[in-house]
Amino acid sequence: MAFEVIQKDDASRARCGRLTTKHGVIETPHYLLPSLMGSPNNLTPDLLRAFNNVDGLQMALQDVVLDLESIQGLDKGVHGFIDTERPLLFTIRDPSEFIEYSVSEETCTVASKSGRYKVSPKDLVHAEQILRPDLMECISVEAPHYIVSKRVRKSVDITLKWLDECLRLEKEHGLVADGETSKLMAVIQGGTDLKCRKFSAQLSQQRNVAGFVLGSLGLGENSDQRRDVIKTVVDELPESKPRMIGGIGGPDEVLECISQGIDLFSSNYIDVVTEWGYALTFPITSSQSDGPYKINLQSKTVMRDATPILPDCQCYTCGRHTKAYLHHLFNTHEMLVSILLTIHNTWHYMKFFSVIREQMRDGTFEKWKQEFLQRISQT
Amino acid sequence: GDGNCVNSDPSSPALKFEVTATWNRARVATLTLPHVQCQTPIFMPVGTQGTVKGLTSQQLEEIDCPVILGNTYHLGHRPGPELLKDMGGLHKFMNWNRGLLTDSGGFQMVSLLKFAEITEEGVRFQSPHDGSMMMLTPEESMQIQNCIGADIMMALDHVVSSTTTGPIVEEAMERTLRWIDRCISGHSRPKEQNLFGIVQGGLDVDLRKRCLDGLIKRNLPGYAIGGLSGGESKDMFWRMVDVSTQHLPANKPRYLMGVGYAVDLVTCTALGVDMFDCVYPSRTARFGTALVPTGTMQLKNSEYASDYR
Repeated sequence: MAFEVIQKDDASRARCGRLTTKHGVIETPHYLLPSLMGSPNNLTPDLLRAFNNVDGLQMALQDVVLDLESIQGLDKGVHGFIDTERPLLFTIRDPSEFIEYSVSEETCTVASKSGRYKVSPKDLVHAEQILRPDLMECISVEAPHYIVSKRVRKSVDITLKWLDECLRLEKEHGLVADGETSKLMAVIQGGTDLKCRKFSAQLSQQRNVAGFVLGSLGLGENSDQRRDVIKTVVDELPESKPRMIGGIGGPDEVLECISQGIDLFSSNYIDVVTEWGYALTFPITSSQSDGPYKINLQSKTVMRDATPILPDCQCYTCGRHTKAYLHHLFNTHEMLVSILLTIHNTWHYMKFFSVIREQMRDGTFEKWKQEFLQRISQT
Repeated sequence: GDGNCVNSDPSSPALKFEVTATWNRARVATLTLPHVQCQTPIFMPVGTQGTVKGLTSQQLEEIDCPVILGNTYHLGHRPGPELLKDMGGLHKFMNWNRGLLTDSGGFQMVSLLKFAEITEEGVRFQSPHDGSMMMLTPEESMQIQNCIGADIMMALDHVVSSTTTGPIVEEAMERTLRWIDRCISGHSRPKEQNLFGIVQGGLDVDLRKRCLDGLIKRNLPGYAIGGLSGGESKDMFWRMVDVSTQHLPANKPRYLMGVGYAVDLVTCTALGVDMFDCVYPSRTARFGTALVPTGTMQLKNSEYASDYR
């Protein structure tokens, strides 16, 4: 596993890079499509193959804890079990939900398919041994913005304690050789307490980890709080390792995070937009200057619209179907609309990320970003 | 679908059926419809509301699916015949360029609605949307199906459950024959769409034969065997299929409605059936059952947790 910064932006902390894993390369900044057992929601393997810009998938530990025995039985890691050759990055919890559990010094509680499940450092390393992921978030104690004082500090301390215990166990079980980098990503906690965040970041970056997750964000903090936290944390982190953030999905927020130096995103943004019946149409390039941000397919205004969602979109749905048909499918609660709309929204959103990387490689990111924000502010 | 006849036979301009191989009463045939040519026997997945649940039209093409069903009752409500007509028919609306078959709407009404009653005029029912009393006549069913534009349309028939007995069975059969003439008159696109008659008669051999004779006289492009697969014993089921296929003309397709499970497909093909439809494969998938050559697998069962095949 190796991360290389290809290009840095002059005007901000934005950078594009390549994260090389045993199962392939992830070009950053990258949106990791959330998946259940390696299957993104509504996208069967044949539908996923149509995308050439989906490099890595996100999976959640909470979704596989009950299947570890089955996965272990095959002894080919989670990649062999799913039969995929894509890079797989594990978060602890599923991006679509956040449940607060009471804090324990010994274990991190996750919501498995059949209820609460406790994960200790020993359990995490055991899972890592079985799964053989490309990257894995370490267990941590979450502290969203509304958590204050002592509890915040406690979350930082326990998180660091667990990180060190996991790293020690990895060495003990031969998962990581001396001097070799772990596949674990350290989680920076600390709520909105900048001192705590700084402390968490400083100590975490001393460990030989694969990268960093900026924890407990995307949970209702305001943009100023988020900006301050990210700046404080990134100030302490080395440039040579990737940084991930969960729960941030809106294009403007994503761009803000990228400018602050974030490389990987994990959220259920596409699923939420799709579930509400919206087709993403925000203008990505300057040639698409006057489209709406999104189209409500449930609206009667598209009932007889015999045109695709976007005329120049290359996705399967836009190539084959009309808004009128999608509206009908929505109206009749048909399963197919979730699939067709997911295809389009995923295509559009992944294209957004592709263009970001392109602009960065061309050295025009900041200019493009300003124009983009201007365009969507007018939609 | 552009008006060019697929068949030189004037009684069946939109359908050609050529038997290419037989084994006893089973047969393989080439069926040519306005939107597709395929080899029968065929299984037609049910695409109720203009979609086969969860499958894209490309995926259906990839598994070589020749014909899918649409339900006139559902489509007639949403999106409605006017919109479908304006959109150029269901083929264009869905962007499905192979075969489509629509049922008449009658069966859904009788089975789904709280109040539905069959009179000589048509099916009288209470609209589930605003409670008003409505009527689906044979003529109206033809009109809606003409707007949908399927390659095959089904006549409006008087369906009775296969477990029903008494004079109503004969009454329904006779009415079906009177209605077929109204369907034929009401059908405005015979060069582009094929009207199939439906054989009724319950579990009575004599009634079935009389219905068959009546329908065959009308020289329709194809025939369906209706009123079965609804709770009757398997013994009676295959006997009625047998009677029907024995008397239906060999040079026209025979469609057994609502069938079915693997065993039924094999048995009825042996009896001379060419076309089948059933919700079974998609429905059972939603319950986690996989259909494989050796039978079925309930994938949710724990025995599969470590089955790495």
